[in-house]
Amino acid sequence: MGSVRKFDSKPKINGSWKFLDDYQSEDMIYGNIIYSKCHHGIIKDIHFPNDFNISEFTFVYAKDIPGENIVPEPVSDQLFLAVNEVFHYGQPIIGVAHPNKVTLTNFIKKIKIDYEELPAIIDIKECLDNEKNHFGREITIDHRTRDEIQNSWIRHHNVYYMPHQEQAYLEPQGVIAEYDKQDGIIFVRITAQCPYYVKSGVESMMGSAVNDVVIETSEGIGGAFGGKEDFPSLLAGICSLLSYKSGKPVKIVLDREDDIKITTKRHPARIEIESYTDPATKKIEKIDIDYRLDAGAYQTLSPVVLARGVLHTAGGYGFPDSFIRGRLFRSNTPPNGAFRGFGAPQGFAAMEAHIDGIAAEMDITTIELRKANIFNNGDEFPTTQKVTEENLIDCFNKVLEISDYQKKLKSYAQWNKNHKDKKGIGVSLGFHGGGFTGNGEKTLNSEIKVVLEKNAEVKIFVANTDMGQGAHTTLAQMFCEAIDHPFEKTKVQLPNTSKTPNSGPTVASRTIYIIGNLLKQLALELKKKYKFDKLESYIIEHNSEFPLELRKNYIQPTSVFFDEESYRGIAYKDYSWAACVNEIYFHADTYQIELIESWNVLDIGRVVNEQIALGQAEGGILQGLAYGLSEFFYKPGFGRMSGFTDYTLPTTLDIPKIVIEFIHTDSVTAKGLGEIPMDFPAPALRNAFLNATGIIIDEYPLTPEVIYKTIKEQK
Amino acid sequence: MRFDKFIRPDNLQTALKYLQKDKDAVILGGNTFLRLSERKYTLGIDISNLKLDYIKESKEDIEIGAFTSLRTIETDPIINKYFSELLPESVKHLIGVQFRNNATIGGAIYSRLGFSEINTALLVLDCELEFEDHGRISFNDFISSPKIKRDILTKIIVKKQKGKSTYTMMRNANSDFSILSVAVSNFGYINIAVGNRPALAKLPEKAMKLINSDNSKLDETADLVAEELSFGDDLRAKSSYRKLITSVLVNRALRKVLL
Amino acid sequence: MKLKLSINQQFYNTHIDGDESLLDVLRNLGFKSVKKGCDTGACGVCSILINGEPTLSCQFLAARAEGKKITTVEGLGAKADKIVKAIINEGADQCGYCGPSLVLTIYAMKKELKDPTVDKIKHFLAGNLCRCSGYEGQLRGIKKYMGVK
Ligand SMILES: Cc1cc2nc3c(=O)[nH]c(=O)nc-3n(C[C@H](O)[C@H](O)[C@H](O)COP(=O)(O)OP(=O)(O)OC[C@H]3O[C@@H](n4cnc5c(N)ncnc54)[C@H](O)[C@@H]3O)c2cc1C
Repeated sequence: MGSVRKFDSKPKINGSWKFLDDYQSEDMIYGNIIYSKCHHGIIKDIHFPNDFNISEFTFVYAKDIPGENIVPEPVSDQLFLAVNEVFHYGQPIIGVAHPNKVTLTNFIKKIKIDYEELPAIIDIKECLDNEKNHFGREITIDHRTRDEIQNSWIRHHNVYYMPHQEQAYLEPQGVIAEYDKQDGIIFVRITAQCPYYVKSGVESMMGSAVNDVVIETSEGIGGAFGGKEDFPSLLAGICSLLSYKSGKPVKIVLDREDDIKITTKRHPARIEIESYTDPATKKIEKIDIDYRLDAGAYQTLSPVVLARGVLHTAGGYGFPDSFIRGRLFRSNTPPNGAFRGFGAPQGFAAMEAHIDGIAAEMDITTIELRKANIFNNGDEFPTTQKVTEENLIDCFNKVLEISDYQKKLKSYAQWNKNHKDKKGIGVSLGFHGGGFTGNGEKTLNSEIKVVLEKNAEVKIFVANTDMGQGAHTTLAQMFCEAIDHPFEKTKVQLPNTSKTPNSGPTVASRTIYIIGNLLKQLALELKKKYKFDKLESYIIEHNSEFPLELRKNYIQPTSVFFDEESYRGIAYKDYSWAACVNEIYFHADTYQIELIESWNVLDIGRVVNEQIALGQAEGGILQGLAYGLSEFFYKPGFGRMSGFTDYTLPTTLDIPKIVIEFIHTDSVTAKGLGEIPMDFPAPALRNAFLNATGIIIDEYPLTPEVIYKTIKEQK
Repeated sequence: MRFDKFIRPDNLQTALKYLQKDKDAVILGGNTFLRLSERKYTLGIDISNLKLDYIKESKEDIEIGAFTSLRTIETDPIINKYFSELLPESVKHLIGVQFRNNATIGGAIYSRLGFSEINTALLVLDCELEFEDHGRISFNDFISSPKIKRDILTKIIVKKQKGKSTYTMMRNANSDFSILSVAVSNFGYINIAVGNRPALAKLPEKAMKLINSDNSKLDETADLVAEELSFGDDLRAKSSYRKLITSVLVNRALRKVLL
Repeated sequence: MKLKLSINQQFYNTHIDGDESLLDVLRNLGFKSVKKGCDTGACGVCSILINGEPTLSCQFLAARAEGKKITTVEGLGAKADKIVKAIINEGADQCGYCGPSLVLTIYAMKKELKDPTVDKIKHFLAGNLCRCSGYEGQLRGIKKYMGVK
């Protein structure tokens, strides 16, 4: 079945697929958020314009919240609506709704809020350089095994800075809430990744004022990339309260400008690494990593990003002695949140750069150094988890081979001798743990439901959303392929919390890896139990037994145990692996890096749907390359950006040639794929620049201006 | 931008009358830039019915109607025949085809935007503007002093000249504004213009004098341009970086028209 | 103000504000394939055809559209089949938000580019942002459709 066509391809392209803003009803009114334009301050006064009929508007303030003014998160510290004090630009203060969208927009523009301004931190380095700004979660992975540092070991020490990154899904955030007074039910339709997160968000907001909350996603979710993981809970909470108070269905769709200004971004990071390498063996004997994330004004889900971050940041290397300390730092910016990679891209951006830094310092090749340290069977992660395969080595060897690395390395070194412009080639490695970190999948206890209809149609009920990654097609495919059932007779239902059981959020590269494999198991169990050859014929023969409803929960294997205190044990049962070679051309006169080609080899286990997998890899890799090369959101002296005119995404004209190869595709398990393509490409680019010029840059992205600044400072 | 009332006059006199009668009236070009402003007007005057969308060639000149789209500038055979390396090059990276079909040359000129690339290009041509009320003015004069107000730009008259002209720029990503733009022409006399500094495009007088006195002084001229002009900081680049690439881009452009 | 629009070869009478964008008017009339992505002219998902030319409908004033032929994906009908097929054969669609506008732009490109090359295609499509695909899959399909290696 290799590349079954996505069931939603056609309606998406011909425009009949419904996205959030395409849902409309007769008496619907429009809502929006009035948010803080002050980074930190006490609200003194709110002035509404007097040329509007105020009685036409519905307002909701913190005091109107019937439930709790807290957005449920891993750490629930963010308010739905501010009370007296605002802690970041973009913090919601009032919810407002009106029957006419234009009137609403004009009204909001004219509202003035007076603040007593308080000290605020918005600068990334100001936040992350100062230990005093540490707050909330701290994680240490202490795997120190040696006290002595030998004199012959070579110390390498550096600090790396990674910027924000904007998810930039093309469909902005949006939600429709509809309060049914009679039954006391709030129905929410939303463009979001995690319907059950939204449900607990609205439940927290509404408390006992409502009897039930039902969340259904829109048919189409116009991209998410993590950006629609937790912010939707906040938006849905406010929208629900507006509907509750007005008695009308309320729709909020954020303007792009607001969306960019107030929603979550990838966490800026400061990662400091100190390493000691034995020149005789080229083995990195000791490593110490200080991993810091700018969480924004609240912790929200940053602790979870931090956890994944510290568990990935040491890279795919077997260090005998390691110490990792991860901390969150507070700034007066909107909380940063989930974005494809979830802390891993920052970690690898630093670690993979560091590896090349060590090699440069020791005057050995980065390949030698990587080969001496790369995960071998039997090596340990800093958590003491044993590495039980050598698939990362396979990725590495394969990527060197298909990129013709060695030959290019030599010929470019030669070429560079006679040219002012430089050619360069760089390597990076990466991996991504599938599913929730540690015992997370155990706690989640995901449940799936399948209904076998009388006409042999299979209906799959899961809470996991299809936001463009093709999850619903792939999930159906996994069930079908297991028992050779026709794909056309299988359908994944639209996630709806009153119909689809809680199979967990659509995050953490877990949808295919956990839920897909669970569906496959269910299908196989079915076949074993009823001993059929073809499900279809069995259903015809035993028609009276159908429809039949089946449920199954994910049970984490008992072999998987993780100690959340000591951060030891099995953090993830299965890892996807990847290696990358990027080739660049450096224009010495304008300080521009031109990306020539990017080779990527990934082990994601079994590839369920080749086209979908390829699409995921290509899209993620381009996001990763842009993370390294061009995307940033904040610049000292100029502040944060406010729209697509400032935050520029790569276009068709900005893409290099991208080569992708999947290996070990004959394995049984389909592992995580969603995030890994984003994790690793950026440092290979930075390393290619180092290879081309011999210049070390420890700050991403490598814009011409950053390169110019670095070179000037070094002179 | 918002306005209360929309009118679409079918002749220039009426359009001008409306514009001058009401200080809160506004001319609607392609509406690409205008719509981003927060301002509210009473009257929007649509100029799409004034037959200002044309490119005509006469013996000495090329006349471009002010309502001609930037996409037309990019693809038009007459423009491409004379200034293919200059005018089409100066517009072709602006967002996308769909954008350039809306944006007009009149809007680009009239709004005198610092980041307008076509304005950099027009500076190195012998170019005049015709306004409905004010009549003719050289492009250079219009760009350097904002004395024309509440008027309608009707056409751009570009003198056909023999020689080479070229445009080059630098941007962080293709859909972004450019960080710097450079236009150079050599029709017997060499003109150099530098825009997106990020201030309005300008001709560096001293540098132009130098290169015209001695065509071999390419490197010196390129460096002098960077010294002579002033540069600013913005989100996209700092002044120091702008200054640096100015000499690089000017050098490249000079080579193209001289060698 | 009153307005009569020709959309997909049918006339529609409607009331609009003079400063309304064609994007909003089309969506209000039910042409939901026309999407709003940024409303500032930067993303391309609101692209439609006006007299056959790809145009951003967020910038285009509805009032100005009278007398013009407006085409949305709904109106291409069978004429879009080959393009749709070219894209979905590669599995190149992901979230789908940029899909309809891309199809329209490709349709116009096919008519306009007499001797297409990869560079010309990329240049023509530079205004159609996509955050999911990295463009690779789309371009594979489009190159085949345009007959370019
Ligand atoms: C997102 C974005 C990105 C951009 N990127 C670039 C870029 O990379 N490079 C670049 O060079 N430019 C760029 N621009 C600027 C672009 O060139 C201008 O927006 C465009 O040329 C303006 O033309 P318009 O017809 O849309 O003018 P409008 O927006 O309609 O009008 C602009 C002003 O000119 C007035 N006006 C228009 N026509 C006339 C006339 N005939 N007579 C008198 N007054 C008139 C209007 O009243 C208004 O004040 C960008 C703009 C945007 C919005």
